[in-house]
Amino acid sequence: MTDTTTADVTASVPTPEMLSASGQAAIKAVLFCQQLFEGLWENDIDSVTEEQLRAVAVECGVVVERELTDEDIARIRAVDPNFAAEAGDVLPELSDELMTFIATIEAAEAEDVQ
Amino acid sequence: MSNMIRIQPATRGRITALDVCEMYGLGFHLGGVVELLTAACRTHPVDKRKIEKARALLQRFFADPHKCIQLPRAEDDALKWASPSKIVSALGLKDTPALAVTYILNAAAFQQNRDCELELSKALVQLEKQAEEQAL
Repeated sequence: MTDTTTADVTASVPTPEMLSASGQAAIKAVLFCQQLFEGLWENDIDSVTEEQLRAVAVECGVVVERELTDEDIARIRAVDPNFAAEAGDVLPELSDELMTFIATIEAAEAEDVQ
Repeated sequence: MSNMIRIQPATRGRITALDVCEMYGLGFHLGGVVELLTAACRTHPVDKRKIEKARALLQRFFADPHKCIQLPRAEDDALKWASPSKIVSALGLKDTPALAVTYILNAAAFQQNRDCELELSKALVQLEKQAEEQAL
């Protein structure tokens, strides 16, 4: 695996192979949260039901083999970044998602007010 | 998240929302709030939908029943890098969004969890107040 420095990250769009396992996990968690929050927002965040929460989690790529517990539901509702990493497999194919995520960050940074 | 990828903050005095999130240790929720409020203040008039979305995201932070979501913790040199007032000005924030972001950044600079939570609750109060005004 390539040794990635902070300068590398800002200088070019990395491939998944350039990131450490923890870095990939962090990206997955943020992607999950972004998609989950958007899903909740689109479904009226204050009145979303448990069934809708389950559906949104699945749409976001969180595959949890076991039945969701009340605690799981509460953590999904809170958009807990750690839930995705702890509860199940998330986004097995990371490459396209990672590219999009990094590109989004760079675009947002470029637009920021000086 | 403790395993967040470290991205070197921009130099030459330019401050971006992403730099602020990194230096002040803001995770998904609080970082998202800062980003949404910054984006909301870029339009004239301010984008009410983005402010409402920021409020909903901050509410998610407080909705964490088991305190799984970590409180923000600023880097040791964050205040020296840029104070909350300088950041608010640099990001073009004003009025209620400016107050809310100031409270969030203050929260990250506190060492005690109780103080941190109190500042964050003040930020939420500001956004709740803004939401009420928008509803009128």
